[in-house]
Amino acid sequence: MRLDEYEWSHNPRGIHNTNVYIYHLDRYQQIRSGWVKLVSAEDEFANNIPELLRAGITPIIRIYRPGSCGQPADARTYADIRRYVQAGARWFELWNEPNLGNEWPGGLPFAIDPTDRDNVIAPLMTHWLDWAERVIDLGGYPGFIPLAESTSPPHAAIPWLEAMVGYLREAHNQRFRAVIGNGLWCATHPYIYNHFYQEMPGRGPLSARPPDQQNAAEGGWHFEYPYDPICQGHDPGRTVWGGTALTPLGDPVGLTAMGRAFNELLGRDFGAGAVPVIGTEGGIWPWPGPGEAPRADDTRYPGVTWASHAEATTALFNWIASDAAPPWFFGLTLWKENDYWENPAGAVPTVTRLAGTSAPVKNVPALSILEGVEVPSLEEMPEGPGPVHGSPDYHFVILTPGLDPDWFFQTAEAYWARFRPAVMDTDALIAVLPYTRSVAVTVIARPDQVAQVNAQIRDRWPNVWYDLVVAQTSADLSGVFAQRLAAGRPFG
Amino acid sequence: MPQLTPPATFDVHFLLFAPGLNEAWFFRAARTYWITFRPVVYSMSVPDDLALVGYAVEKQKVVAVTLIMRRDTAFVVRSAFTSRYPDVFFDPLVYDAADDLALTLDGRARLGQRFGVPTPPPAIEPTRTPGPIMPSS
Repeated sequence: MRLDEYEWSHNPRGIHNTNVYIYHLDRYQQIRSGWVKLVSAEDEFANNIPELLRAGITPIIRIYRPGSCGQPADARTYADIRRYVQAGARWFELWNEPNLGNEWPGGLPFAIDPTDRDNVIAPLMTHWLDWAERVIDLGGYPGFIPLAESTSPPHAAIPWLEAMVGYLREAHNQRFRAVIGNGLWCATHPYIYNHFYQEMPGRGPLSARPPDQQNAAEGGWHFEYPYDPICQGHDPGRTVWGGTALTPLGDPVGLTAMGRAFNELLGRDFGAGAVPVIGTEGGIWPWPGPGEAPRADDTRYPGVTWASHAEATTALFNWIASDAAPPWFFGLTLWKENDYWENPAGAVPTVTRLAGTSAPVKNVPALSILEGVEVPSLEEMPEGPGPVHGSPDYHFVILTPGLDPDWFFQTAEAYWARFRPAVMDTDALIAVLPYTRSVAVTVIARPDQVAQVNAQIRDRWPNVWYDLVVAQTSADLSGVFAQRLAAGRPFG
Repeated sequence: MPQLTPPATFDVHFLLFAPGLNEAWFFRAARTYWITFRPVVYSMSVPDDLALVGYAVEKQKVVAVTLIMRRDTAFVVRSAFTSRYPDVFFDPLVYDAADDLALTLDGRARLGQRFGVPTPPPAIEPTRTPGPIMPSS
């Protein structure tokens, strides 16, 4: 896949919806948006996807599962994604900011620590990879999990990103490579504070206009932090990775910084070019109310005012579409809708400014994402079925040789009528399933066959949901099926 | 065109039940047949629920399919199958009652004819003439 093959509006402006179930097409059109990030509880926006696409707005869907880092995607999530894909959506997210403890299940039994590979990074990335493969299989683009752009341990984003990508490199190299080449993109959360400026006319790259003189219609804007002249003049050599005494844990607080770090890791570890990056939360944030003093969280840069926020945000989107921005940075969905339209002082000036300014268009070059590197297709995944996500795609019942098949016909009729598993006397069909499909296998065996079938199925096919039923008599079997029918569960 | 001659040997024999057939078609009508020939039984949820067959075909398996259909759905189900897998041996059985199907399948079991016709014997590799045995030194 090439960078220009991703389907989107080519308009980098975007907005994040207020919350699940809340959607206002008129607002997204008012600011001439090209993206909208929709946090979605289920498939409540599926019927809105066609009108968004007709309006030139590309939806990014995040199925909202709070506190779910380290947990697998549930079956409902896949059903919802399938529905959204059928409606025309392509871009998907699921998990959120794993470098913050509140994004993990309650009662976390261990500290949030990116060096804790077994308890933190491995479950997080294994479940993400399973999900990403499934999203691609469903026809979508999976987003790499966005990190909160912190520089304080244990939350610091750069060590987290290195641990996450490093784990994929070492544990799932081929699988991740296939995802890179088949639709991967990276979600980031660039809340950039006042890490931008506009040069004063004729005063050179280190000059910065005060906020009341900023004008989106004029040039001289810098959003490349930490690579802009002011930052480099203050701390020469600083990069997103750090590299200076002042930045021991990196400096990711720039519009494109985390995306650059991610793509540099893909280049270093996988020989990849670059995948799309979209800020799916963030913007020039926070900013003061009307009449309040300029807010300058970083005193090296001019502050932000109620009015200048409109100029700078409009300029930010124009900058993304310009040659000054990296080709892989596709846009930003501002955090968030209610802050812009439901401010105590009314709709913020930024809404009016964006509404009155033509949307920029970003041209994307035909860059190969894995040039010269062989991309394994998903069909080249490991032999046999993939892991079960929520519920398996297939359910096989295998009657082992030596088991009297009449036992099954005498006892399983109601069970089969309810759950309709495939029935066979061989395990050969497991091997024909592709990695993109999952299976649960109920093996019915006599006690003396258990060791053999364990070796033949459970040990041979680790992704199979293995469900062993040991029966010495047909009455044993009858009891098992009756129990499962009563519980409404096809497996034990 | 679907293959009409049963393969002498095959890797997978599917016994597919078209959508809408209840458990009596398997547990009563096909019981003796299954015990005799042990096909892979799969109950289709929709007329083109054929992916499982497809995975076997993609893996270069020699596949034979016996497909049980009622008359009211036979055209749609048969079309879905033959358009997708024209090279797979196809053994369609169209009945409106499970009891009628039982007569056919029980007869096949009794005669040892999995597909209702004598199955051609597999080609047998002639036994090689033993070569000279070198005396051990």
